[in-house]
Amino acid sequence: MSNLGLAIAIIGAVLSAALAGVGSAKGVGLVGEAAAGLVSEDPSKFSKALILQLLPGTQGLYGLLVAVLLLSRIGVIGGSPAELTWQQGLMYFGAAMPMAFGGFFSAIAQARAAAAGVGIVAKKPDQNGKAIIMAAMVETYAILALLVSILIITGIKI
Amino acid sequence: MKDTEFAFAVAKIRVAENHLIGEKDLDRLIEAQSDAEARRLIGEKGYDASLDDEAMLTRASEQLAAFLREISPDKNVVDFMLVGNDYHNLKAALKALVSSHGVAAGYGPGGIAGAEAVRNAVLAKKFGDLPEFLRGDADKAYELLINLYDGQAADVFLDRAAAAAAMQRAGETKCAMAIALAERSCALKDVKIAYRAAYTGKDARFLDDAICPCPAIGKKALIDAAAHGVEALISYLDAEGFGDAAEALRSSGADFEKFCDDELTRLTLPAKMMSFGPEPLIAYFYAKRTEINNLRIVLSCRRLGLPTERIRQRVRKQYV
Repeated sequence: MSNLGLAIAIIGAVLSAALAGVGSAKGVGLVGEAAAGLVSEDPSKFSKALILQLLPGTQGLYGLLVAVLLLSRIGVIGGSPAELTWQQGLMYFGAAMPMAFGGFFSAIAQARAAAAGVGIVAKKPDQNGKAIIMAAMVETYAILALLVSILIITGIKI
Repeated sequence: MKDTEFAFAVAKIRVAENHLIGEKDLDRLIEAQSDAEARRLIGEKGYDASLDDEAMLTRASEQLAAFLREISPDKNVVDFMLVGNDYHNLKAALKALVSSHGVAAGYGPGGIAGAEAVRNAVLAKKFGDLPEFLRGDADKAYELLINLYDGQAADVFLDRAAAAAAMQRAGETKCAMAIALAERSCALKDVKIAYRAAYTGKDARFLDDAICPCPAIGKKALIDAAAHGVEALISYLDAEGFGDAAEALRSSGADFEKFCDDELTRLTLPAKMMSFGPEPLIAYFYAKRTEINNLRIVLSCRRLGLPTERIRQRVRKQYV
């Protein structure tokens, strides 16, 4: 079980990319449905709807960033995996969790706000800036999760 | 069904709401200097102004039903609003059947089965070809018409069955707004029946057949009140939280009809704030139906040459 720590750390990286990615995929899909409904009736609003649809996609990128950073720190990217104790592996695993769960839930919450914003674009297109701001507020919590994950990953000494 | 499954439909509804006739549009229509101007205004709102008035409004009702059927991910949401039209068409078809001339009159647009299917099945006396939910009721109503020669009893039976079917389908949606609308609608119909029965001196047995039980109003107490006359009925309604309905009844039958429509519109208003779920679809159906009714009222009042103030009093409260 000499590689147990490494395995635990890799699982953390996988969850960070996967959960945040799933959240983003669900979120972008949800807003996409609402945007499709809007554009099918009024194609001129495509660009405004597209901005809203993109918003929940960022969590997937953050999750990927954390996974790449973590894999890089433990040497998986680069071809020379580090020897990690299970305690070190667990620390990396824990470091990835803020992004994994923060990304998953904030993407879905942001998607609901953005899909509701599609309704604003449909009824009052001149107010679409407010719809974007309201959805973007949720991004704060994804960024906080990203920050915490990065701080922990970079702070762990091997 | 998750509320987010309605995201596509709700976005389409929000765009469609932009084309609803608002208060200002209706004012312009009422004030229009000529019929040509009125028809032009209606045409600008997506109606086929090349048709005559009734055909234009019928077309709009058909388009409304087709639009909601197309976009709703849950058919029950649409069905509870349309099932009444099927019972209306069943009544028309049965009357055509027993009158032995089969005249296609009185059929309405936008049912679940469609007027054509109901008419063809009934006129061919193939009740088995009717949708399952109509078969049993069609048999019973036909029995009343043929064996008892009682057209009123058949009408009463089918009206009650329609209200019960709407409540059952609304319950299947598990949507609180749908359930509230179906129950309120049933309660108001019951009040109307009770009022007419009290006014014309119908007995309690008639009321027992005619009134559809619903959670919003107590059937037995309503029948007892109606049996004691109009004033007793109005007092009962006042005491049971139907004070506005009682007030409208005191005023006139036309005011009560307006109250009923306005009350249903009031129940749909929270849907304006909802971004997901079936509520915006339901609210749009009622809004468009009210709009079509308003157009019918305005156009017929204009034909009769009624003053604009009288027309304004008659039009229903609008969703937008």
